[in-house]
Parts: sequence; C-alpha cells; structure tokens
Amino acid sequence: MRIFSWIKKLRYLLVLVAVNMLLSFLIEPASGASGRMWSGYYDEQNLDMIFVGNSVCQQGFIPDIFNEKLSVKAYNMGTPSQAVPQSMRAIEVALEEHDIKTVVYAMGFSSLKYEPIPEAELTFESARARQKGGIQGALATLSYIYSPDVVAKENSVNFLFPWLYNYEDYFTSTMLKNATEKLCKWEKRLRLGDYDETEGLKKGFRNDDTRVINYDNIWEDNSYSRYEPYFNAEMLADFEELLAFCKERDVDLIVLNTPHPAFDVVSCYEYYEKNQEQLTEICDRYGVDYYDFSLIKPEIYEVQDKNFVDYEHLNRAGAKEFCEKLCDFLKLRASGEDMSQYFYSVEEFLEIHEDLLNEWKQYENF
Amino acid sequence: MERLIELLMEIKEDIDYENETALIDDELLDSFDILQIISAIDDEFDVAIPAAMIIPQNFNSVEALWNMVQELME
Amino acid sequence: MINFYSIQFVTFLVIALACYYTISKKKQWICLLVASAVFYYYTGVTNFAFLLVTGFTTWIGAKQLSLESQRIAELRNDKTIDKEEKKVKKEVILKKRRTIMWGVLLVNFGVLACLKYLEPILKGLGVIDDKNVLGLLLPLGISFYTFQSVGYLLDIYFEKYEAEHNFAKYMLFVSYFPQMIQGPINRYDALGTQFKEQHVWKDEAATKALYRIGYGLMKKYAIANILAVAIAKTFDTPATDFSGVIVVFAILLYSAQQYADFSGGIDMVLGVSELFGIKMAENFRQPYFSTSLADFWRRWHISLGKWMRDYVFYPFALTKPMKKFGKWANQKLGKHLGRVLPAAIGNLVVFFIVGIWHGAEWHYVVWGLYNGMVIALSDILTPVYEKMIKLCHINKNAAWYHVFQIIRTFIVVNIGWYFDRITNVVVACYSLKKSIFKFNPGAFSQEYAIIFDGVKEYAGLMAIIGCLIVLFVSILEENKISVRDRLYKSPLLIRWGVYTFVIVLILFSCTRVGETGGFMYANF
Repeated sequence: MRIFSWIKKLRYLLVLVAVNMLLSFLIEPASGASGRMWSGYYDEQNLDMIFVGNSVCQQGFIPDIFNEKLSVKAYNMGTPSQAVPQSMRAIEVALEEHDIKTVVYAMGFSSLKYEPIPEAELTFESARARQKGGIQGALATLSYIYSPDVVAKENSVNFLFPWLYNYEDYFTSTMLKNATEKLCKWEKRLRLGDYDETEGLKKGFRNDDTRVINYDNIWEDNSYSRYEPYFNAEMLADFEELLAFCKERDVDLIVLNTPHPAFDVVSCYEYYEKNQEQLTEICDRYGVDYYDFSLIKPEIYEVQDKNFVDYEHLNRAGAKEFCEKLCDFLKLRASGEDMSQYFYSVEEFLEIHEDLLNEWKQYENF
Repeated sequence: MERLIELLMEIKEDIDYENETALIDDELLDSFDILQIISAIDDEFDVAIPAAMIIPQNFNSVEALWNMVQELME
Repeated sequence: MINFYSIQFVTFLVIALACYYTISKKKQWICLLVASAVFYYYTGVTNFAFLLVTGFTTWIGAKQLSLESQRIAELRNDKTIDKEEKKVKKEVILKKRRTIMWGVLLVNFGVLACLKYLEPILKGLGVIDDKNVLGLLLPLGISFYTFQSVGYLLDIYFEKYEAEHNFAKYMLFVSYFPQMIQGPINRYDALGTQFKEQHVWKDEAATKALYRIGYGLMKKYAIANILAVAIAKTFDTPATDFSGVIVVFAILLYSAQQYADFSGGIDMVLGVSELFGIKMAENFRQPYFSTSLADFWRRWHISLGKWMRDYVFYPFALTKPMKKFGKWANQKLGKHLGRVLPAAIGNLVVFFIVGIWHGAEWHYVVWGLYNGMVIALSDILTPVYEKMIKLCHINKNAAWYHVFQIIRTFIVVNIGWYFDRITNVVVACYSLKKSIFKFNPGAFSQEYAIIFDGVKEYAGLMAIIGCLIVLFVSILEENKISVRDRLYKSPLLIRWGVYTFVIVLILFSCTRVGETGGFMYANF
C-alpha cells in the first residue's frame, strides 16, 4: 500500500497534471498553424522539395503548383513567426525522413531582425512532438526537453504547459469552440490541426485571404515602421549555421525574399541596400543563391499591388501567380542561366519608383 | 560582578542584565556594543579579550561574560 | 550557470534526492559530495582545480594549526620544563601558527584577487587594453567558497572548535552545491555538523521546503525578471537623458528587483538544501524594515555581514594599534569619541572590502565607502541626535517614529543603490543631481512608456502582484509569524488555492515577458 500513500502525498501534483491536460484541450486551437503544418507533413511520403520560413512562406507557396510544373513532391513547412532556429529544425527533420533535393528558405528580413518569440518556438516544437501521438509523442517530448540547447533553459519546463504558449485567447467561447471541434474529429483527436483541405489550406500552404492593400495607411504600416533597420547579430549567426548545415548535406538551398509591394521597399530606402549587401555577402560565402523577389524584373514576374494583403503578405490569388512565375524562374535557373540578370539593383529600383520615393519622403518629413 | 553590570548599564541601559541569557542570540547587543564592552572591561579589569573569544556563548549572559573575564585574569 | 527553473536541474535534484533517502544513512554525505561534484562539473571542469586548491590548503592548514594548539596544551601540562622555557617555546609555536594562518590566507586570497582584480587593475593602469584580454574567468562561487573556507581556517586558528580530519567530509563543506551560486557563507560548526547527522524524509519538512522554493521562484520571475528590463533601459542606454523622476522611479524599481533577485535566489537554494534536511545560514530578514543603515546590514546579505564582523571588524578593532588609538582618542577627544572612532574606522575598512568584494570597479568602492561613512557618522553623531530628540520631545517608542526611521533608512539605502547599479561614478553623481535638480515630474508618463516599451501590460501587473505578496509575507514574518507553518496548517482548499495561484503566476511571468517584435500573431 506504499503506492497509495505516495498517491495521497502527490495528489496535488496529479490534480495539476489533469488540469494541465484539460486546459491544453480547451485552449489549444483545433487547427493551429504549426499543428496543421506538422500533421500534414507526417501524412506525406517521398518529399523532395520543402519551403521553410515565417508567415510570408506559409502564405506564399502552393506546393501543388510546384508538383505539377516541376514534377516534384513539395511541402510548405512555413509557420507564422518561424524563427531561424525553427526553420533549421524543419530542414533537419525533413532531411532525416525524406530525400530532400531542394530547400527554399523564404526568410523575410523580419526573421533576421527580431529575437524569436518564445510562444512561436514552443508551439512549433510542441506540435511536432505531439503529431506522433502516444508513446512516440512522449518520447519526442522528452528528447526535445532534454536536448542540449533546451535542457538548461526555462523553455524545457514551459514546454510541458501547452496552454501557456499555444493559445488564441483565453475567452470561454473560444475554449468551447476548440473543445467541440476536437471532439468532432474523434478518431483523429490526438493530433492537432486536422482540417478538411481546401484550396486555401493544402500541404502546409495556408492562405484564404482575398483582401487587397489598404492605401490609406501604406506609409504608416510597412517594414520601416514594423522592423529594426539592421539585422540582429544572434539571428545572423543562426542564419549562417543554417547555411552551413545545408551545405554540409549537399542540399540545393535557395534563399529568397518573397515579393513586397513597391511602397514597402521604398519605405526602407535608407538601409535596404545595406541589408541586401549583408545578405548577399553571407550567401556568397556559402555558395548559396539569394534572390530578392521584391526587385525582380517584370519580364519574369510583375510585382503588382493587387496581389498583396499588406506590406509583406501575398493574398491567395497573388500567391498563385507568384508560384507559377517562380516555377518558370526555377526551370530557367535549372537550365544553367545566371539569374542575377533578372533582378534590379536597389539603386535602379529606387530610380524607377522615384515618384513613390518622393511621396514617402514627403510623408516622412511631415 | 556588580561592577560589570554597572559598566554594561553605562553602555546600554534598558536591558535586564541580571536575568537575560540571550544577549547575543536575541540581538540585544550589537557589534558596536560588544566593542565598547571589551574596551570597558579592558579599562576596568585590565583584561584584553581577543577576537577569538567573541562568541555568543561568552556574551549571552553576564554570568558567562564574568566567567570569561575571570578566566582571562589568571 | 545553473538555472533552477529547468528540466536539467529538476532531473538532477530528483535523482540526488532519491539516492540520498534510499542509501544507508551513514553514507548520505557521500551522496551529497557526489551530487556537488556533478553540479560543479556542469559549470566547467577547470573550476574544479581552483575549488580543490582552496579546499586542500584550508584543510591542511587547519589540521596543522590544530596540531600546534595541541602542542601548546601539552606544553602547559608538561611538568618537566620550567616557566621561562615554556614561555619561549610557546612563542615559537604561536609564531608558527601565525605563519601557517597568513600563508593559507595569502594563497587563497591571492588566487581570488588575481582572478577577480588583476585584469581590471592592469586595465586601469593602462598596461593592457580591451584587445588583449587575459581571459580569466571566475569559477562559479569563488568569492563565496573562498570566504567560507577561510572562515573555517580562522575559526580553527581562534580555536573555536575541532578541525575536520577527513578531507572528503571537509570538501563537502567547501563544495556543497546549494551554496555555490550566491552563498550564503556558512560556518563549519553550523553546516559541517549537519552532514554527519542522519536524515530521514519528512513530508512536512519537504513540503515547507517546496514552499520556500516556490516563493523564491515567484520573486525571481514575477518581480526581478520583469523589472530588470525597464531598469536596464533606464541605466544601460546612455543615449537617452532621462529626467530625474524616471531615475528615481528606476532606482525604486531596482530596490525591488535587487531584493527579489538576490533573496529569491537565496530562498531557492535554502529550500533545495532543506529538501536534504540541511539548514543553511539565513541571508535576508525583511531588510527594508530596517530602522538604520547599520540595522540594514544586519538584515541584508546577513552571512556576509557576519563574516566581516567576525573576521575583519573584531580582529581589526582589537589590534594593538587600534586599541592604542582608542585610548588616545579617549584621553584627547573624550569618552564618546574614544569609543566610537575605532569602530568607525573598523566600519570603513569593512565596507571598503564589501565594496570591492562585489567587483573590481570604482562605483562599488564608492558604494561600499558610502555605507561605511554613513554608519560611522551616525555613530559619531549619536549624542547630537539624542539631544535633538529630547528637545523635540519625541517619543522614540512611538509608532510614527518607527515608521519615520524605516522611511529614512529606505531613502539612505536607495541613495546607495545609485552607486551600486550605475556602473560609472560620474554618471551616478549626475543621476543623483538630476534626481533633485532636474526632477521634471511632467515627463513621467512619456518616459515611463519608453522604459516599459515592449513589455506587456500584464507583465507589470504581475510584478505588482508579486510585490504585494512579498510585502504581505514580510509583514507577517517581521511579526514573527511563520508563513510556511501557517500555510501548511491551512485547510486544503486554501492551500491548493495558494499553490495554484503562485504556480500560475510563475508560469505566466516566465513566458509572457520579453520583447516581441512589433507584431503578434495570435496563432502559431
């Protein structure tokens, strides 16, 4: 009966565990971005192309288009606020489990300009660990919290409380919604993020947005107002680690900046070139191709305002067009052409958009 | 021992030296008081208390203090 | 650095506790020694060398000293030698004891001084600059364990108790892991003896230990970590010239943060040690309720204050030159100054050491001396105060006077914090000046927004809740009510309510703090 005495002593702990599980059930969204991405990923076999990056990646790449036009098997592993270490983790996992030939890293400049958000990091890893469910899931959890990068940090403990970081909000209405959604998908209830596939929600791609740019606040809400001018040293170091990792594994890594509307590039005119130079220099050192699709010439792809929701995200129609043009671009690249000829330099770009630039400067001074 | 109590009263009154047994433990005397007591004992009884003997046991009560002083007088 | 709030530490602790309470009670100290070795290993293998040097030199030094003491005792009882010869022989032995003592002190403080002060001194003299850094890293806890081991040696020198003959048992005292991060500085007769006892698991003691750990975690995460960001923004970014009102506000925040961080860490290590049935020395006793700066130093970093008192203050004040000085002052300057001046000088020496012990930086020296001078001056001016109190017919026992003393002391302590937190003396003086002459209260809301930029509002709320909890607990403890005992005896619902509240507070303050980029996606 010693076991019973121990259970009595630890009853508060047991209650905590039960409450923890209940809260996770109620608070974690039934179809969070990371959950959806990982569950879809584990459904795929024989992948040979992946896209990684933050929300610009998630909302920008439609794998089915690439599958059709390039005869590959692609998957979009982008998630909102995905930081460089998590992108690297996605690449690591994919390389281990599939024979990946091409990795497209859609690093928004933003992922190199701010510290990783703990909630994003934890949600990403937690979704990955729990996709496997059951014993495997428990083992994946243990291997994450005991991994050398994590074991000595607070995250190793916080990981065990998903409702702390994977939440939309704490309103009871949301909790009810989550609970019912999860209960309805009873047979898949252990996995997070199962959802019926639609055109806007397939193979990791997630973009249902049909909105267009709101011209009333383009000068208030853009990369200039949202992000630091220069890159974060720590994130740059992580970025280099990612490049080195891919080089070691002999993977065709393409680093690309998804297109931004012209006004967004213009708003950062003071430091955009410096950012470009820095990135190009690093990528050259690792022999990696870097393409900034904000500066692409119209003969390949015309960057039009109507394709954007805001200063950096494509809408669904825009993503479709972008992917089709990108496929053509990649085919051309595969044939051995030097693709740098199809991009404007920052100087050229600013000259072409001189009117916009003047408008911005006027607004700035005002 | 009465003379000792008189000296202590001069340094810090308000303490019931006759009955107190936790002068140090209850922090009724602080380190500054201790120094003054040592100095006063040196003047009065010509006995130098070394730092080594500044332990609670020797200062917690007037009796303990007096015993220590007498020991050192030998 | 070992982070207590991590799976690594939790795992380590659980394994250590399991071993400790299942093996033979006589071998429990070995379990602790192994655990301490493992713990220290994770901080860097080279640190072991320094730890062993300190441990070995103090242990062997103490053994020798105690041997020599024995010889003196034998000498006294030896009837074959006459009095004159005895005196001569005794002198020789005493001289040998002194040499051993100074030798060990020199080695240990020498090593500490080199590691801690060589580089800053050379830099200050212009011999080296930032480019050719000597690369001397301080082993974890060296300032603490060096003092602790030297304390033991001096105790044996003063013949306070028997020396420890078992090197392994002694090394446990030196390297006992809960004290390695930030003290407290323990005494051998208090701590060392506990290792020899047999410890049985007791639910009540273990639960209360967990209370203490939880309390410490709450202080660290809900208060210290949250406030640290705003304080750093105020003092570590020289570009912004904040108004006096924000400087004062930030110093007050620092009061809270420094206390929460340090005492929170101490609560955690004392709690962890209690899980093993070992009680370490207390280090804090509601310091902000002090009625004078001297009282403050009996409530803040208590173990350091006691160490200084026993091993620096008394020995120094009782040296021949100081006693002579005291007698001279007594004759020439009167009874009061004759008694106060030696202590005043002693205090200055002590606080100078306390200052540089914190770091080889000028602002620490200034801070230390500030404390020493205020205490010295207040002792010297005591008769003046007494007169003023009599003149104003103030009742020293009145409640309002007590409150007045607390507030006065709090202000004095906070002025000191200017030189503790601000790393440049000139900037500290300027900040003090600004606090009075450039107060500018109108700028508060604007500058407040700057220093709390990026910190979410509920983070501030959590810090306030944390502070209120600390205030509540402190008031109870000050009135000699043991909060832990009361909590343990409370009904189940209240207990569970308190546990849950504190745990949620810790979890939220651990995950909700830190700057996010300018945007937040609700759905990751």
